[in-house]
Amino acid sequence: MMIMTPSLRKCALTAHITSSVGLLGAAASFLALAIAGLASQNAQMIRAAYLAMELAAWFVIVPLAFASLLTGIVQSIGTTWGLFQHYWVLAKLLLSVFVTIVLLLQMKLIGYLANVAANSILTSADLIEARLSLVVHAAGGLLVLLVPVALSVYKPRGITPYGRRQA
Amino acid sequence: MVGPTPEKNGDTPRWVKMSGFLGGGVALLILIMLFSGHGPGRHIPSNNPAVEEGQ
Repeated sequence: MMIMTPSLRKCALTAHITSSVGLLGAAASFLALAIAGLASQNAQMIRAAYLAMELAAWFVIVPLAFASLLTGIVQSIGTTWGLFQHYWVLAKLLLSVFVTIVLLLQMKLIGYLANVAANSILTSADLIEARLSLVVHAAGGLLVLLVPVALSVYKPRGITPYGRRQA
Repeated sequence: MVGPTPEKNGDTPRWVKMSGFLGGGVALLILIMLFSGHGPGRHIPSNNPAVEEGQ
């Protein structure tokens, strides 16, 4: 197993915390925009919300999701924790992969709504299911993203069968 | 607080079992939704020009 030097480990940890907490904040902002886009009666507000959501998703949320996943993998394999040896690390990995896949699947809908908002006037009743779907997914994503944060703080015990063989 | 259950002889902690059960339930729900036509993209019309020209 490759173990990082203390200074490199702190650098990787800083990158991981920054990207993960940044992702949480960006997801919260995205949820606020999704709610504004769904609930507002103002056509300008609705248009602005969906255009901003597409930009935020492509240029902030998706990069941060990949950065969080990548720095988490680097952080785990570069330290004694390992990637598959502790259940809490494995749970964080699975949740991060799940969130990233769902995010990428939602990108088409986000782009579609941004396109419609840019090229026509969306009223509060238009495409209501699609807009509600974005709110539900953003809220669900935010809740799921809180779990890795809690796991990182509490680090609940539990070694996987693979970890026991490695010990 | 999450799972400070002591491990005995390499037993799987209770929080892992609970999470696995919950995760399995969510996975089953997602599969049911996918097979019942509630998959991603169902809100997007297939012949929508906004999608074809954009992205």
